[in-house]
Amino acid sequence: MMKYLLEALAYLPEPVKTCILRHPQAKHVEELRLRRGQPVTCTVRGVEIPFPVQAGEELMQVMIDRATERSPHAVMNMLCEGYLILPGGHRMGICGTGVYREGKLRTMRDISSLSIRVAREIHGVADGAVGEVMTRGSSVLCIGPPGCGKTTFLRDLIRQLGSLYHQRIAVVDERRELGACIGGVPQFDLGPSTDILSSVGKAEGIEMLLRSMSPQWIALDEITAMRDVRAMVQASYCGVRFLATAHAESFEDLKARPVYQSLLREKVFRLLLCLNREKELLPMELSA
Amino acid sequence: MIRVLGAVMVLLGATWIGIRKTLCYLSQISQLKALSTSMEMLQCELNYTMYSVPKILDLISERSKAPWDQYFSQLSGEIGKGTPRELAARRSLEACPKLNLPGDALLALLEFSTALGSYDLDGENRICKLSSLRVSQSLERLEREKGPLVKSYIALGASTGIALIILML
Repeated sequence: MMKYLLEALAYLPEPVKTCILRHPQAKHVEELRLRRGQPVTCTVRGVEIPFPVQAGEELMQVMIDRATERSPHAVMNMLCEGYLILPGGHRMGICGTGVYREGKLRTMRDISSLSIRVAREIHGVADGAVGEVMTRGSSVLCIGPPGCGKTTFLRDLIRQLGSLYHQRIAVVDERRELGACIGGVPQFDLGPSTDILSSVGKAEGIEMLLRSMSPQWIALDEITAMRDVRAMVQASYCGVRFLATAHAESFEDLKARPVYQSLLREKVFRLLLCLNREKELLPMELSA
Repeated sequence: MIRVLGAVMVLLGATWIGIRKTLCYLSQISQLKALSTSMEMLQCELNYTMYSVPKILDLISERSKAPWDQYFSQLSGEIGKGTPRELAARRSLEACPKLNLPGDALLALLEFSTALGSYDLDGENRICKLSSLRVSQSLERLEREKGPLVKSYIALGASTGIALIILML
C-alpha cells in the first residue's frame, strides 16, 4: 500500500512528504488536497486530516512542474479538463483560473487547489464476479458512488478474465487510469492478453479497436458522455461485449440519468454489479 | 642560419594564428548549422510526439552532432532534476567547453533553452520559430562575412609574421 502512496507523494517537496509519511494513518491515505493558503490535508477513510504545512504558491508550482515534467504542451488536453494523470495511474485534480483564447480553454493559471487521488491495484477484488461474468458471457456494467473502488474492480476483472480465461480484451484507457501506460508499458497488471489504447476518446477508441484488434471484450472506465454511449450501442451490434463502470448510487439512480437510458433501452448490458461504499459487490441481472 | 630559421618559425607561427582564427570561425558556422538542424528536429518532435521536454531533448541529443549531443543531454538532465530553467541552460553551456558560438547566437540559444517547456504548443512553436530565425540570421551573417574575413585573418597573420621578420633581420 505504501508503494502507491510513495509514488503519489513524489510530487511533493521532501519536508511535506516526510510530514505526511510520519502520520500513523499514512498507509491508508486515499487522497491529498492542497488549497492555496490552507493546510495540506490527506483523506483517510473519507475524513480529511490537516497537516501543519501551508499550501503556498511555490509549493503548488513545484507540484505542477513535477507533474507536467515542465512540459505543459504535452498535457494541455488533460490540463484543460482539470486533471493530470501521473505515473502510476494517480490522478491530480487541478483548480485555478481558466485562460480562454478564441473561445477555447487554453490553459489554467493561478492554481488555487490541487488534489492527488492515490490509485491502488488490489488483486482479488473481482474474485467473486469473474466466474459469473464468464458464465453469463454478457456485457457487465459496474456502478457505485465515487471512491468505492469501481476502477480497481474493473482493473482486476480485466486481469482475471485475461489470465484465467484467456479472453482477448481491449481497453480504451481515455484518462490512463486503468493501465496507466508509460512509454507503452502498463503500470498496472491488466493480464497477458489485454490491448490498451491510451489517451484516446472512448467513442473514437471503440471504433478503432473494433476495426483493428477484433476484441472479445472492450473495457471502459466511467461512461459519462452521450457519444460514448452511442458508440457502445453501435459496437454491441457487432458482437463485442463490454466491461464498463459508471457513477450511480443504485440501479434507480442509473435509470434516472438520461445518458444511461439508451444503454438500458438497447439492452447493451445484461449484468449489473453494484458496489457500495463498504466495497460490497451486489450482482443484479437486467431482464432480457 | 639561425636567424633564417627563427624568421621562418615566426612566419609560420603568425600564419598559424591566422589559420586558427579562421578554423574557429568555420567551426562557428558548422555548429550553427548543426544547431539549426537540431532545433528543426526538436520542433518536429514537439508537434508530432508531444513528449515531455526532457524526453524530446534526449531524443534530439541522440540524433545531434557534437557538441550539441552533449548540450541537449545535459539540458535534459537539468530540466528533469527540476533546476530552474535559466540555471539549467547556463549549466548546460558550461558543461560543453567545445561550444563555440558568436554572441548573438549564444544569447538566442540561452533564451530558447530558458523558454522551452513554459508554454502550450502554440507558444512552444513560436519560441522555436523565433529562435530558429535568430540562429539563421547569425548564420547568414557569418556566411556573408566568411570570405573576406578568412582572407583577412590569414593575410593579417602572414603580414604580422613578415613584419616581425623584417624587424628581426
